[in-house]
Amino acid sequence: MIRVRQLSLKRRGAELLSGIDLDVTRGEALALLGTNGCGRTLLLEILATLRRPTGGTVEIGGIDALREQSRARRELCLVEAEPGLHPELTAGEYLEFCLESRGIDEGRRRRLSEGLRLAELAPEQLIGELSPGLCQRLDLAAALALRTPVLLLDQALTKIDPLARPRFVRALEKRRTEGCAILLATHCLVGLDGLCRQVAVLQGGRIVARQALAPGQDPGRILAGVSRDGSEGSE
Amino acid sequence: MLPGLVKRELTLAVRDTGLRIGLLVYLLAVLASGIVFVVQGLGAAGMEHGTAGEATVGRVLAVPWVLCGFFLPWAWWRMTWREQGGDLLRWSVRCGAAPGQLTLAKLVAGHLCLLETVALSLPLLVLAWETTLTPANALVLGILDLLAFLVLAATAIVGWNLTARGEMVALGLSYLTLVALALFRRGLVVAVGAGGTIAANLVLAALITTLLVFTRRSRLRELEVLT
Repeated sequence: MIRVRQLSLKRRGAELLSGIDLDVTRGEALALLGTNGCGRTLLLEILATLRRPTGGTVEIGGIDALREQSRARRELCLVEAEPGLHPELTAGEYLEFCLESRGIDEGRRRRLSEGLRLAELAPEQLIGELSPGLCQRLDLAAALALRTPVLLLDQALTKIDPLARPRFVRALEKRRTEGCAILLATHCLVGLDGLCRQVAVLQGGRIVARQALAPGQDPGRILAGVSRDGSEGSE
Repeated sequence: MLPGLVKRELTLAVRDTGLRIGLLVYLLAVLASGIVFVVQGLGAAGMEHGTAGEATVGRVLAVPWVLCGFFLPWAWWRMTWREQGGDLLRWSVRCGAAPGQLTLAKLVAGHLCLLETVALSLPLLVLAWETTLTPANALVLGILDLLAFLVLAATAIVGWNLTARGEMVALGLSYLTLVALALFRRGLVVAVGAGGTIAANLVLAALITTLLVFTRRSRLRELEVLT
């Protein structure tokens, strides 16, 4: 579903991403770990067709995302840490607009109510009056309601409280079992071992490791382990 | 897809405080001019053309049209500048559309606002006193009509290419009705109304172009930086 080959991104002579090969197959969820500034957001933005890389290829659902951006966009949904929602809209309107603008007519009402239930929001609640956490809930619920074959999540669970988080993780797991490919950039792996079987580590703009994710594994240890291996390897 | 995008634009426009105030002032002006018109009409029954009463009615009736000319560019400014560059691209990713389709939705929504505003004034326009058309007025109106036709044609071509054909046909027909009305009801009131309408259209065309350029430029800047 997501296929990246030799992806690179240069800016003002600096290599921000280089030689990235990444595959996320249908029904697979991959956690993406990395320190601040390692290039995770840039990578997700490229996959979401918001940026153009300087080299390499990106396929989303078998579509060349660099050449056929509009077609690729229909296959994916990006949820970012800071969702840019319109404060003038209500929660119900936002979900409805997302569904309407994708031309989803079948079961729209049901998806809408499921989304609102998942986010625990009333349809008439004004976005401008929601807390950042509730906004993130709404944005993620909207992305799940769209049921795109590919989900790109950039710190999409960070602001969601510990009580609501498992519910969203379960919803993501359900999408995964339905065949959705999920790439989840995160710093926190708590409760994600059921969703993501594997974790990839991005460091200095390169994917330096991809390994199985054990239950309760500490992301700090994973990053430290990879750094140690890398430094040992370079010596 | 397009109706959904247009609906969103219209909802956002309706929720805008500035636009709400503008609309309220506009509606009050329409109401006030209507009352003045009726009072004048009743008080000056059998009044002949060219009287002071007629001139007052003409001036008062022009108020909503002048407001229309100011209100619509404001609506367009809010619609187009609310989202541009990166925000526009992000929303286009969320709704799986090309940025051009979003821009078209803004264009269509703006025209719907325009037609709605004009429609509110139409009953007054129909009742309006007709004044003599001078050659200079006729020339100005002719130029304005031609510009209106060009804007309409450009909108239709863009819409047609983006396969929003049904909406564009309906929009074009409504707009042609307006232009035809302006052609038939030439006069001071119509001239101001048509002028405001055309000015609004020109402003929106300029804003749309700016929006497209900005979106492109942000893309180009990004590519430039990358390469």
